[in-house]
Amino acid sequence: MMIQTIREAIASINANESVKIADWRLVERAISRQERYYIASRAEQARSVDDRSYTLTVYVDSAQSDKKFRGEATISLQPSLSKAECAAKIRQAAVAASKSHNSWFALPEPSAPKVVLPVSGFEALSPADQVEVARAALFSAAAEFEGSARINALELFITREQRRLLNSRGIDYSSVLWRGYSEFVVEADSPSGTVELFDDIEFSEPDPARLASSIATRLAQVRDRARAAPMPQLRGLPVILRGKEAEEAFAWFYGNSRTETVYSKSSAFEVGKSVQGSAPVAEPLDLWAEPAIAGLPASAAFDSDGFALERTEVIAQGILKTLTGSVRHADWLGLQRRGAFPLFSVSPGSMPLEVMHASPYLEPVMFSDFQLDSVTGDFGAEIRLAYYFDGKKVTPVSGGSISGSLGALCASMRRSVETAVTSRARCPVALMLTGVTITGNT
Amino acid sequence: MQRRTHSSFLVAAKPRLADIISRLKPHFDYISVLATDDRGISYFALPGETRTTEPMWVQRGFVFRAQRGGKVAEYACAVLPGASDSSGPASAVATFTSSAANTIRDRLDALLADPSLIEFPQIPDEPAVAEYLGEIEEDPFTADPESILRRLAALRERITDGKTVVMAQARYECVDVSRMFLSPNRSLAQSFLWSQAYLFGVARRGQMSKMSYQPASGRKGLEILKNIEASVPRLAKELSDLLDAAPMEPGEYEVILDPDMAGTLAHEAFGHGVETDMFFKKRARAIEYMGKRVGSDLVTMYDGAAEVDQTGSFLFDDEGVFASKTLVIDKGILKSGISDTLSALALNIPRTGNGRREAFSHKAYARMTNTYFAPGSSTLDEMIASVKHGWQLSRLNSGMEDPRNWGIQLICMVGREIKDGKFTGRVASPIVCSGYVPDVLSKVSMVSGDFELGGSGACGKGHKEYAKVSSGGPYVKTSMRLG
Repeated sequence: MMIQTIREAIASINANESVKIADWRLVERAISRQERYYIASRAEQARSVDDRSYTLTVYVDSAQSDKKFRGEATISLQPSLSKAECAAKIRQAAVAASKSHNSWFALPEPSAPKVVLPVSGFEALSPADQVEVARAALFSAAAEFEGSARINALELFITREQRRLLNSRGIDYSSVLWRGYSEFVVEADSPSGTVELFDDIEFSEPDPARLASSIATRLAQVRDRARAAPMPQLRGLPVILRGKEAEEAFAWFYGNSRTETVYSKSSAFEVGKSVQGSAPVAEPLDLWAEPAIAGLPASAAFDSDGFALERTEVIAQGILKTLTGSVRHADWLGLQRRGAFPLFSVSPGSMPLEVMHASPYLEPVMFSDFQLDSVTGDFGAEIRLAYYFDGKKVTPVSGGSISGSLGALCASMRRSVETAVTSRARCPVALMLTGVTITGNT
Repeated sequence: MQRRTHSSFLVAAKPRLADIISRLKPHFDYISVLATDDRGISYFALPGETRTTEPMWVQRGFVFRAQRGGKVAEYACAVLPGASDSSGPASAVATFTSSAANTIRDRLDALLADPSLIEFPQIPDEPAVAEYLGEIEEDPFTADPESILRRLAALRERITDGKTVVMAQARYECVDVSRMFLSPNRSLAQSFLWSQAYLFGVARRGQMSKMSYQPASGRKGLEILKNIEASVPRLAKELSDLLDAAPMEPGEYEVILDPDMAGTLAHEAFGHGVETDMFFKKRARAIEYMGKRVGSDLVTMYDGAAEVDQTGSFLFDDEGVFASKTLVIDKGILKSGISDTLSALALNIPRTGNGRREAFSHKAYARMTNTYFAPGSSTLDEMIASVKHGWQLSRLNSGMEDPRNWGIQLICMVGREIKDGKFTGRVASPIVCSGYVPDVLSKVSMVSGDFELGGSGACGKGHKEYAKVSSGGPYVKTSMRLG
C-alpha cells in the first residue's frame, strides 16, 4: 500500500509541479528481529522488533548547452507517514535533487540474476527456535572448554529482512535476507584479576560448528591473555595479522579499486598499474569482487542500484585490472559497468602458516580497535593479545602497539596458504608484513 | 533565535499512545512507551557531484517496555499494530481499537515467558510532566538547498589546489530530534536540532596519501558552517605538513592533548569505564575503585546531558529519566558511575539519565552524553614551554576503551614535536597513543583554562549501538606511550 502511495505521489508531482522526477529508485525493507542479552547464561531482557522502512531516491534531469545533467536526493519514508506527509517529503526531495547538476547517467534496466542465493536454514525455524539454535551453539563451546575461561556476556540478534528493490525502469526484485549477529565477551582469571576479550560474528545460517568455533577460539586466547607477559621492545620483527585484521588489510586494496574512490581521487590506484608499488613485490595480489559467499549475510545478487552482480577479477598478479563500484561512477570514468559488490575474495598465498611460524614473529590476535585508514592505508592499534616467537618459544604478550602504512609496506606482504571466511571476504587467514613499527610496554 | 516545535505526528499520536498504555497497565507491573520522530537532512559536495540524503539517525517508531515479576521485555515497532500504512495520525486515532493494545500485550507476554530472564527490582514511575524545545539561528529545513550545496562546493573547491590537496569533500547534516515518553505517571516531550559539518582533504605526493579534516557541531543550525569556512587556511597547511610527516619513534613522551584528544581520553578512560551496565556484568574495574584515587589532583571529570549544550544534551533519556550532570572524578578521586535504569536498579544506585538508544528499535544501554575534563589554571603557552621533549597531539582518528583491564588506545593524525619548550617543526603521523589509564591520569601535570566541546562523532557500544555524544574540555598535559 505504501509503495502505491509513493507511486501516486510521484505521478502527481510530475503532473502538477514544475520540477519533474525523471527516474526513481525505491527500496522496501521489512525487518523482524529477535534479540537476547545474556549475562553469563541468563538474559537481562528479551526484545523483539518489527520494523519497516522505505528509501526513495528521486532523479531530476536538467540540460545546459546540449549537455544533460542529473541531480538526485534520497529520503526515508516511514510507513506511518500520511499520504500528505509522504507527498510533501517527495516534493521536497525533488526540489533538492533539481539543485544538483551532476553528469547524467542511466539507471540499470531489468535483468536476470547471475547468481542464486541459497535459502537460509533459519527460514524453517520458529522465532524461539531461531534464538535457541544459535544460543545453544554459542554456549556449547563454553560448556566444552577445558580451563577457567568462560563467557561473561553475549548478545544475540537474529534478523529476517524481506527486501524489495524497484525502479522507474521496471526493476522489481524481492529477496529474503537472514542476518545473525552475536557480540560476546569471554573472560579468564589471572593473578592480577580477571581479563577479558571481546569479539563478534555475523552469520546467515544456523551453523553450529562455525558459531561454536568463534567462541572456542576466543576462550583459548583469553586463557592465554591471563598469563600474558608485558610486550617487550621488539624491533624489525615481522608482524603477522590474522582473521579480521588481515581481511581489513586486503579490503584496503578492494576499497581503492572502486569506481567511487578512483573517480573522487581519494584512491591513487590506476587501472593497468601495480597496486603494490614499484619496489620488487614479494607476492603479487589476486583479488575478486564477489556477489555471494556461503554463510555471509551481505551476499546479494544485485547491488543497491539493481545491477546484476557476477564474480569479477579486480586485481591479478598485483595489477589493477578492473574497477567495481557504483554504475554512475563507472559511466563517468568511461568504464564498463560491473556493479558495487558487497564481498570480495583473495587467493591463497604461497606460505603455509607452519612456515610463517618457523622464524621469529609477532602475531597480534586481538587489538583494542584495529584502525586502517581507507584513504591513506595508515594503520595502528594497541595490542590486547599477541603471540611472540623469539626463535625458541612462543610467549603470549599484552600491551604495546603496532603502526605503519600499508601503502609503504605492501610490497613485502606475504599471504598464508590457508584461507577462511571472515566477515566480508574469503581470504588468507594470515598476512605477514615486515617494517611495521612495534612499540613495547616495558 | 528560532524555537523548534514538537513533531505533529507525535502530538497527534499521543492520545492513542496514552490509551494503549492505560489498557496495558493492568497486565504489567510497569509499562511505558518511547515514541520517536527524528527527521534529518544531509548535503554532500564531492568531487564532480553534489547530493542530498538523510542521516542514519532519521527514525520514526515506538518501543514499549514492560515488567512483570521483575522480568523486563521490550517490543519495538515502526507502526502501531492495527494501523495500516499511510493511515496517518488523525485516522489512526479515529480507528483505534483495543486490538493494538492486545497485539502489543501478546508480543510482550511471549517475550516475558523466557525462563532465562533476570528479575530486576520494580522500575520506578514517579509522576512528572515536562517538555523542552531547543533554539537555533539558521533553520536548515527552510533554507534553499541550492545555497547550501553551493556553500559546501565552494568549501571543497577552496581547499583543492590540484597539486598538494588532490581531493576534498564537504558535508553538512542535521537531525531534528523529537521524542515523547509516556507511562501511567509520566508525560515528557523534547524537540531540538543538532548539526554537524566536516571538510575532509586528501594530500598526495606520488603514491603517498595523507588525510585530515575540520569538524564543527552543536545543537545549532546552518550557522555552524561559519566555523568550517574560517578553518580552510589552517587545514590546507596541515595537509601540506602531513606530506612531510615521519613515523613516530616509539617511546614514552610528554604529550599535550588538544581538547578533542583530551575529551576522548576522558570518554575512553573513565566514560565507558563507569557505564554501570558494565558494573552489572562485572566488566568494569572502576567499581572496585569508587572513592579511591585514579588520577592526579588536577583531574576532575564530568558526564552529563544537563548544564552544557552540545550534541549529547537533552532533557530526558530514552528511558524517561531526567538528564543530570555526574561528577565522575573529583580531584583525582573516582566518585560515581553513569547509569541506565536496569543496572541502576540491580546495583541500587541512582539513575543518572544515561539510558540511551541508537533508535526506537534498539535496546537502551548506559551511555555517555557530554563527557569532559574540567578546566584548570594553566595556559597553553605555559604548557608548551614546560615540555622538555614531547608532542602536541591533535586530529583524533579513533579511541577505544578497555574498562576491565584499563588499557587505553587513542589514534591521532597529527603530532607536532616540542623540544625545550618550542616546536621543532617536525610532524609525525599516524600516532598510536597507549597506556595504563591510572598511569596516564596520575601523570596529568598541567590543565589549561580553555573549555571546548566537540560533538561531530558518534560513540559505539562494542561494535554497534551508535549514540550522539560530545567530549572535550581543556588542553591536558600528561605522559603516554607513543608508537
